[in-house]
Amino acid sequence: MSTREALEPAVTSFAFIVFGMLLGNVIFILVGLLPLLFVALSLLVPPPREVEVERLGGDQSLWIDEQFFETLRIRVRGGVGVVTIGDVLPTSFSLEEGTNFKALWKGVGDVKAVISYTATCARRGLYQLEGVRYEARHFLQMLKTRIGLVEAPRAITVRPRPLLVRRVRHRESVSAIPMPAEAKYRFGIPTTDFLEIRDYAPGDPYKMINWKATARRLSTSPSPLQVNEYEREGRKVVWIFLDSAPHMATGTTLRSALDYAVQAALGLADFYLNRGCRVGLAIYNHDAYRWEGPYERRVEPPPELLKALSGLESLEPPIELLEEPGVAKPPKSRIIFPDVGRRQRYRLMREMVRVEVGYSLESLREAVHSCRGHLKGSRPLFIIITMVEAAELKGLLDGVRALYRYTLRGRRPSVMLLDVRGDKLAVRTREEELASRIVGRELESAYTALRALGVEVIPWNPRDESFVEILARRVRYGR
Amino acid sequence: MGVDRAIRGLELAMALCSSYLSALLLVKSGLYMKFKKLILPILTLLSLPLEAYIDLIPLGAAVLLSLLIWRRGSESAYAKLFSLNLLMFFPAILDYSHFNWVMLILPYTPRADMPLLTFITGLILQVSYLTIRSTLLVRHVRMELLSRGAEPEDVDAISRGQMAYLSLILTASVLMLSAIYLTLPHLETLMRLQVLGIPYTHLIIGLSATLLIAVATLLFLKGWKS
Repeated sequence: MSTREALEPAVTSFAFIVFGMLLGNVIFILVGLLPLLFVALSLLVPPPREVEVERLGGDQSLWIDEQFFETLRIRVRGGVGVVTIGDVLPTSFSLEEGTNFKALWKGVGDVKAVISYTATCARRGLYQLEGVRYEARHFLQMLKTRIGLVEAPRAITVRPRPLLVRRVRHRESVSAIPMPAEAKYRFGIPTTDFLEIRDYAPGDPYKMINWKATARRLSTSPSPLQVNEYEREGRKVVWIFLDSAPHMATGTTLRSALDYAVQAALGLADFYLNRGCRVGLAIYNHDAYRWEGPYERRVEPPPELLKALSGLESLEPPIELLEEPGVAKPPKSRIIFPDVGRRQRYRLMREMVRVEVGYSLESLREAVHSCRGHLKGSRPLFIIITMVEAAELKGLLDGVRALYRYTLRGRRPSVMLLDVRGDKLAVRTREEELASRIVGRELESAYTALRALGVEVIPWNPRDESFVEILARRVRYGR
Repeated sequence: MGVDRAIRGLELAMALCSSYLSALLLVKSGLYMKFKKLILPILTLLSLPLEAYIDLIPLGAAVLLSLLIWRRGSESAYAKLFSLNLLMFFPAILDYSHFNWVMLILPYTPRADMPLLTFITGLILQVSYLTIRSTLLVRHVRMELLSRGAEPEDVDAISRGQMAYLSLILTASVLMLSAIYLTLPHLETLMRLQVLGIPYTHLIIGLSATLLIAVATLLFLKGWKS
């Protein structure tokens, strides 16, 4: 289809011809024919026809902020005109060297060109470069520009870097990075690792009675027999609960609270996996507590009632419910059950690459419920990584209560809550700094409520302090 | 930025050339002579001895205006230049017209003694119009590509290619039209014999031809597929 660039000279030409006829002037008519001839001859030159693109190399897997090199081989055939070629990069990619855009003049012969560039990706994720976009223009733009896409797929996996977590080893100092208190299984074989002295319970073997401790306690007041408790065989378990609610998107376009949370989760997972612990991961959505439904198993009606109802006939034909494409599906669990070793590390990494805001539709309580089978009878270490909001504490408190409900009765499990201060990440102006301080004040009451439940709260401002620093702050001396 | 300068230089040459030739034709036209005869006695009364220089005034003004317009270099400015040139070209064209409507109001003696120069000036007017339109487009494409991150060498190559093809097409168009102009006396004789046999007046034939050209042009442009 011709464009304004062709139409305007043609209209000018027509105006000249009409005017020339009115005056009976052959020169004017002849002169007026020039734009028309020009347009006609220009339109005989077709724009570039074929664009071929070949992407060299294969799919790539990199760490955040790591550079990757890309080379494209281009060939343009047929026609004459301007060709622009652009390898569209996702927004979180930044060009370091070279260019991902090329403009070419396509003359009579075929044109070959190479585009090569180096880019860096600042965000984790799975990126699919679909293809290379091109524009083929008529040399005077008298024909509509043809915009196309040449298939040249390339998958780039950008992995988050785990934050370095080390146990602080110093004379007379002990890191308070908590290890799972125990791996207590109800029927596990007791090891020789002493755990605690507790009251005698029926069924305890007599050889476990600590007579010295019993005598000492009886000397002061009447008390039951005291028995030694040893850790049971089995690996220690760590559960990481990672929040993927929309509030985790707070921060900058390149680094949000979720990105820091993912890095922290990976760092902690690495730390515990290196120490032989079984690490599990559950991704939840803090906001989902508002719409969480009855997630307990549905109660079946008694068989007598079903038998009585089976004789009845429905007056109306049953309505078949059609699945609408836009309707959200029921919440899907995003859980990786505890395991050890390199394979588990790979599973966790793969899941972390995919995590994005709204990744899970389960609340913390629902997520705990989904993995209850792995919690019962054990006393793992729970690490919740979220962004605490003072006004939205209910979901968190319900989730923590659910953790206590499903774990082994008796002594409470360790629950560590890492509060990634997204509001601090988003601060740019003085006013925002002030607002962030007010938020900090409000959070104090939320922390108090959580601590009252036995949760160890660690606020973390990723902008000012490293992950190692906040963990090192928890070192206690002289133990 | 050699290519950019070359484009601007070409624009200047076209603007100056078309304005100068239009002004030259103006001062040679019969209508101008008529006005000159009316104005000169007034100037003599005002004791301004400008008779020898009066023809230089339109020439100088046209060149100066075209320089100013070129300096602005925008599309709207060039449109004004083209309108101005046409306005100056119009009195000369009237001298070669079969129906001189102005003579009905203001009788004067037409000077139809330079048909080739008039044709060449008309051609240069159209060539300058098409060239400047295209160079504006070339400049726009340059700016767009540079702002999108294209290499300056690639953009220069594109501009050079565009200008080369523009020159080629313009030359071909001018040659074709010149050929028509040169063969016109023979064509006219042939066509006159044919047209005399048609039992309609020249107005009906002219109107039909005009409509036919308009419809053909419209169909040609609308139906053009890339």
